[in-house]
Amino acid sequence: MNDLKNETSHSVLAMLFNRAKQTAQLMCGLPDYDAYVAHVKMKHPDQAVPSYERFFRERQEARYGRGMSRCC
Amino acid sequence: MTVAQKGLWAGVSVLGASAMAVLALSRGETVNAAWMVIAASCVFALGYRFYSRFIADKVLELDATRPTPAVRINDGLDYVPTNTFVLFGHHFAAIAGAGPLIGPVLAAQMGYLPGIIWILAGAVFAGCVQDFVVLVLSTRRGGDSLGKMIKDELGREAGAFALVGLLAIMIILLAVLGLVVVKALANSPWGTFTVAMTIPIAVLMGVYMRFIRPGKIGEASVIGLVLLFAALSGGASVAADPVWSMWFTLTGPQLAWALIVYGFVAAVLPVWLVLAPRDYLSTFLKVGTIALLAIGIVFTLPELHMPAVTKFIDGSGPVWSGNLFPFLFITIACGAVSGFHALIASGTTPKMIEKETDARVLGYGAMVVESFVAVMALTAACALDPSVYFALNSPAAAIGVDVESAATAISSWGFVVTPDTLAQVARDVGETSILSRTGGAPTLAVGIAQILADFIGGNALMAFWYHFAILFEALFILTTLDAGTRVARFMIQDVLGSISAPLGRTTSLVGNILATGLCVAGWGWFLYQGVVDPFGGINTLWPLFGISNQMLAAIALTLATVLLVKTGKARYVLVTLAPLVWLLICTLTAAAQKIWHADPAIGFLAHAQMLAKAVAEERVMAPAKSLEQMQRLIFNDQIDAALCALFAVVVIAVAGFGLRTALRAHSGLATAEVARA
Repeated sequence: MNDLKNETSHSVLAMLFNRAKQTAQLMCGLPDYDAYVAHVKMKHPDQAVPSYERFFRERQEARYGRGMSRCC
Repeated sequence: MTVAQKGLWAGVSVLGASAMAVLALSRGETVNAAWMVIAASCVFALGYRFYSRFIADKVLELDATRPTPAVRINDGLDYVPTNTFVLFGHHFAAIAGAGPLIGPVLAAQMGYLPGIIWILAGAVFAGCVQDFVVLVLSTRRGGDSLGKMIKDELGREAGAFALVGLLAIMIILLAVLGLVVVKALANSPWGTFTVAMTIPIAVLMGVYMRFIRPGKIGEASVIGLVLLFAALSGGASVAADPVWSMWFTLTGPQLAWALIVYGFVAAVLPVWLVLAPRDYLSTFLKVGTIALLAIGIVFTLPELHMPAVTKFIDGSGPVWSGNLFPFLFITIACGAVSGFHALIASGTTPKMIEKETDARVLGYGAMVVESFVAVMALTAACALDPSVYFALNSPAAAIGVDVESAATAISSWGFVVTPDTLAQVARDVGETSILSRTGGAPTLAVGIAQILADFIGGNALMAFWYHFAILFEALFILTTLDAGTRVARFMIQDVLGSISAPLGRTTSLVGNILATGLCVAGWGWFLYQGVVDPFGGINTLWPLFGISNQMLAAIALTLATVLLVKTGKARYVLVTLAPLVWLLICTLTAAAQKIWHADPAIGFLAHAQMLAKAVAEERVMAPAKSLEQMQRLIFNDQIDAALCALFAVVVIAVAGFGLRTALRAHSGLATAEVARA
């Protein structure tokens, strides 16, 4: 019983941490890499999954390449 | 709604009204900032609960089952269904900038009451509505940008006008933000050193994330933040050292040139080297500082020393000239209603919304939080002793250049102060002088330093917090300068491309350098004129910026109004039409007064005429030092007047195209109804 409770609170914490990390990354224009990998595997099974490094570079260029509408 | 809920909301209404009454009715004694926080919380809670729900349910008819672009397209990159909280963070980080921190500080010269009323009313009925409606419209059009929606819905000509307006706004925005940095760093070796250090720190982070640990934003940001704090404390030693401090003590014009060169170089370098890493730093620092300030205000609850209303509502204030109407309403743009948000709300956020109903908290909700930031900035400025506030914000032309003349001038306005007090405040924050540090950032920094020092560290940390606040503002202003120059560069290249196709190619080095150079020359010109302007520059540039930002909001609300009519929602048209009309009245009155007002302190042409008359009599008017200088001031006035006229023409044109489209759609719908009958 106690174990189960620990387990649940642990997973809640893990989820909160994950959310916070995703939020911080998306504030910098970086969407979730795991979700992207899952997407490529499901929708384009014939294609190789880009590495995190390639994904990161592509997203960085996409966000800043043409400048970014940043508020005043 | 249950009885308990009704009771709760009735209680919130009564509490909010009481807090507003305390703020409005207090005369002659200080009011606690708690009333400001309570009034804002209640008004925003009511606005969100009732007005945004009305807009969501009745006006926009949000439907959780209607597939959003993120769900339909879902490419894992741009279009990704995203958790509401995560997306809220993204959206808020994108809309929060320097604007809501500066406008309210400048508006404080009329007292805290006009500012707080406009922030609350403007946000609830205009700003939040604009963000919310544009976000939904863009989501329903596959995440289209504001420019594309205007072109598609109002026609190509309207799109062209909007584009010209947008380019002009970018130029003036970059100039005014650059001016804020120059004013904050002039003759401040501590501040200049710290801000200069952000460049090598960003480069180091950029290299780290590119080659050493690719893509590790978190690690690089922690390293960057540690180095940033090291630079911040190192700045104190630099300022204390006779040799080093000389290297980092720069005058206004020197700093202006440094920014111009920096802006050009940074905008042509690859994004991973400077722009991206500094954006990560400034984003985290921004969100962290806003949270820290909110906690600081709630824990220390400072007294507001600024009167509710000062005598400067008659337009005679030293910070900016002009009457409460229309100038208060353009001085506070961001925080009440900001046209720039329409670009963000039609940018990346609509491509990531999971359910249409999420748009309420993202559009309306995020703007509520941004308005809270504006309320905090107003609180920090009004918590200062008014004499210190006016010493910081009045140009040298009004208070002179030493503490004696400043104390005499400010005391004569009714805010009695001794020269020693002004000198002591400068020593407390680790500067040689606080006089005429216009532009809002230093005022906010002193306010933040007082609040945070009260909260953590006491007087010993005052100078540290002051320079921390300067760094935090300068950091994201520099990011905006760099990113904005790039945005404007591509706009200019689009135009160049229609003249000579090779120059329009984004890979063309010549085209790149030419377009970037044109853009930097544009904002650099206004920046330099602002720096050498004896009236401080903010006086001239901030109203221009306010007018342009509200003009953009008017364009966005025109689009929203037309689309409400087109989709058969004409009975709810006041939701967007009322704020639109108000913004048109404010911006057009302000533009007309800036051009034609007979008072040379307000009207550009009257000012030019006054100078021209003196030139004809070969009389040099202080603070100009030669007839040649006066000729240049006349030319500046004419340029500023022309820019005002351009903004007015753009907004009238787009509103006209909007009216045409709305009338056509309305009669079309009416005909269709008759045919059906």
